[in-house]
Amino acid sequence: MRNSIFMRMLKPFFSSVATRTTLLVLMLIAAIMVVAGLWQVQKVRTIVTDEAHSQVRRSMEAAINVISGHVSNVETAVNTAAAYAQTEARHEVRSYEVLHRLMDADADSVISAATLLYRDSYFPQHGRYYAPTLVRNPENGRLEENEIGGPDNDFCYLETDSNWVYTNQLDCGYWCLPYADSISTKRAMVTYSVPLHDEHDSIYAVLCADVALNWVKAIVESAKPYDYCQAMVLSRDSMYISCPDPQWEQTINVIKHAQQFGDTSYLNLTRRMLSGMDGTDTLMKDFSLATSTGQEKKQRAIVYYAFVPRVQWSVSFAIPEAKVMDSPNRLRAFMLMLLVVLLATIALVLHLVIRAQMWPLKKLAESTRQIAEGHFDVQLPSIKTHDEIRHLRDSFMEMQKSLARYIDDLQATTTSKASIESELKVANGIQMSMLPKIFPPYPERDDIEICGQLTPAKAVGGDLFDFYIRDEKLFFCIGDVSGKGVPASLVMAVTRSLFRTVSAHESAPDRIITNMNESMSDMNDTNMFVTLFIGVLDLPTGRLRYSNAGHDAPLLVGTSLQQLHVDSNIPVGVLPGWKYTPQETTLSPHTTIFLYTDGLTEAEDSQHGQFGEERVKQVATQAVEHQRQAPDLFVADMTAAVHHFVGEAEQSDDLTLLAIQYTKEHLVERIERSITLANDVQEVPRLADFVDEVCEALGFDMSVTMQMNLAIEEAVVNVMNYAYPAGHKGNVRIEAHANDVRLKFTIIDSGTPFDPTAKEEVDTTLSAEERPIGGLGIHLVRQLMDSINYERIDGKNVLTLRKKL
Amino acid sequence: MKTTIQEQDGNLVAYFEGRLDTAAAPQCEIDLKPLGNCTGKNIVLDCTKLEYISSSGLRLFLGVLKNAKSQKSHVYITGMNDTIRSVFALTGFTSLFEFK
Repeated sequence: MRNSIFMRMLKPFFSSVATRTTLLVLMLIAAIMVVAGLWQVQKVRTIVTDEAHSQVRRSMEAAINVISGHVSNVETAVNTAAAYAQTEARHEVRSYEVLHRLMDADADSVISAATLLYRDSYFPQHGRYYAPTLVRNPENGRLEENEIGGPDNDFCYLETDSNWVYTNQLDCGYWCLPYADSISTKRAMVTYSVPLHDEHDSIYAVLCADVALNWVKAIVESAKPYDYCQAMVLSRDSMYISCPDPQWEQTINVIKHAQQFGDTSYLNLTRRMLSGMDGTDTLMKDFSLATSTGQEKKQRAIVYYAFVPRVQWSVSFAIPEAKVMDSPNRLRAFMLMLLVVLLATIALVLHLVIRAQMWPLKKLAESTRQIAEGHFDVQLPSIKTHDEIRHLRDSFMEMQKSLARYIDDLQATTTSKASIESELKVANGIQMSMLPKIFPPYPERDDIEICGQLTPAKAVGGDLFDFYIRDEKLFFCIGDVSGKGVPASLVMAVTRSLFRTVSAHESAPDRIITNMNESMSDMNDTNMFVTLFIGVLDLPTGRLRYSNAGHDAPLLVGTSLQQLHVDSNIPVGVLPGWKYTPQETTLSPHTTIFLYTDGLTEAEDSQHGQFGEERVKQVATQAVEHQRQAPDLFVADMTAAVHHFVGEAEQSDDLTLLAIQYTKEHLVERIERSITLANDVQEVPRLADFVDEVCEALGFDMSVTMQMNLAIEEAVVNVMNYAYPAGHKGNVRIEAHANDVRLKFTIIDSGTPFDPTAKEEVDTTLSAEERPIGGLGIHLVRQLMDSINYERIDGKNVLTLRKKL
Repeated sequence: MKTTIQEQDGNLVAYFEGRLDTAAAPQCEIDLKPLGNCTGKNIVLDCTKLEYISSSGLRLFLGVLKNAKSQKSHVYITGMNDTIRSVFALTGFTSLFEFK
């Protein structure tokens, strides 16, 4: 928790490049300097240590040389004197002369006294012990003759550790152990003695030279290379001849002392020193001069020691290791301080420099952010240097321009896309408006029920269906344009318009399709085609004439399920000049003809399985079983089935369903009249009488009667004028039928095939000058009657006019 | 069917009587020949006694109108009953003629 807060506080700090770079460089420099410093310090330590070693060694050697020189001088003086004394000292009178010679030969003036120790009772006149001595007065330096022997003074002879004893035993020059001169000066002393032989080569006297050892201390103290160095001289009985604390001299036995305190290292060192070795050792040592040996005062010490062979002393110099390392340690501290100061300076300078270098970048970043917020006209900061930042700025400037341009393009594209989308929306509206929308479309009719629906896969689609009633005939079609989207929708619109245009004057479905095919093949540069089924259902009779152009065969859903047999013609628009075959069947009442596009059979579920013809038939069979042939029910069932099958999958193709049920009921006829006329307009008054009679029977008023008259006259005159070639005699039969619902006139002639309904409608809005004289007749018929219907049956033209009662 | 033409107040007035159907139209067309030259005169078609008119009759009326217009004369129709007026309306003739 604390850590995370800490990191959060540091985060903004470390997010600065300047800070990060500075830190990185600092760490690198610090690492290098620490390594270099450590190496240097180590090196300096080695050098200093080595230097101290050799310095101390040199000093020690010098001291030992001086001591050895003194010792050697003493020996030389004594030996020279002894050579003279061999014979001379045998004479009593010459003994002092010998001593004087000895004292005179003492070059260093270190001999404080010279003594001749004569053998027991050598001069009987002098008693048992005779020892003439010559002592140098320490105050005035004068030599004073003395005689220390005598019956009361036999110490020189009787002490076991005496020159007399050892010189006699060894029969050569002998340095005794240092001792305190208790007799004369109480100084630390040592005595060198040599034997004097008589004519029998037996020792008759020992010539002794007493040497005061104060010069030893002076020599070692002056030889010390450092003040903190402690110099010690140890005699062979491990007593101090010289040591920093004068109280210890001649009082402390080092070996015993070490044994007493259990200081093994010191004990071992002392033993090595006294065994005649030279060397260096490291141990804990108390450098204070106090006599107490508290552990807490000890520190690591380097002890250098060397042996003086003649006298068998060991000279040792001790230095505290810490003192040797003083200067390297000071150097280390200094270097550490220097490092810190250096790093701080570098950090500051580096940070400032990097910040200064980064300043244009920061400005650039601010400008860029403004650009990102959409201010494309922001002026980028000017960079005076010719470096990477300038490059960056230039690149950004390019980017800014490109971005502005791109956004402009994007806006234009978006605008045009939006306009395309809105146009598509309009197109969809137009397309949908081309399709019949109101279901049921003919609520006033009792002979037909229709339900259709089209669901485009895209905004606009290529499926179409259409139907309308003209002249008591239901013209209907269903089609599927190859492809999808806008191109298909355009072809769809063309197809639907052509269907309406062509079928306005043509009632035979095969001829409608053939005509449409001609038009569409001619202008088909894009090789698009349409599968099309066109049917014309004669509503009064239930006769269905149809023609198929490569479309799926419709189903007939009546008391049983049947597939309408269709010829496999090629689709419309593929090949000009193709003759589409006519087919015909009769629908029994309450049969539903179900038409669909392949969007139904090829509807895909999410696993790309297809709905298939079998499922279509299954649904239709169920509709038959459940008496659900009514178009709205049937289409609803089929839609539900296909939706359930498709599930969540995207609609893959346009889906169009069209169900048409023929529901003609036969009513009881109230009136059935007929009249046959010659094809002569002069028969018109007879016709008028016939019509009047029928109208009177049905109880029509004057106005309606006149309208009926007008309509029938126009229709009949039309037939009279055109059905037969000019001058050719023929008959026209007029039948009138009426039930409770409808009045029907049927005009039958056996002339050449002539469909008056196929005539173009007159334009009633034209001016007098523009209007053609003819064409009014059929127009009036259409206006006055509810329907006009032409059929060619059994080689006869059959024109049927209907009026709802 | 009977058609008579009289000149009244500088206008040529045609009186129609009875049914002007397809059978009567050829005779009526002959009877209306005098209206062919109507320069400087307006024509009045009096339909007060006209009982019925078919498209053949309407064609005759349109012929009269076209001819008169070419001679800058006006054609007026008077006395039309509702039945005949409705036929005129169905064919758009009401906007071609002037009615009195």
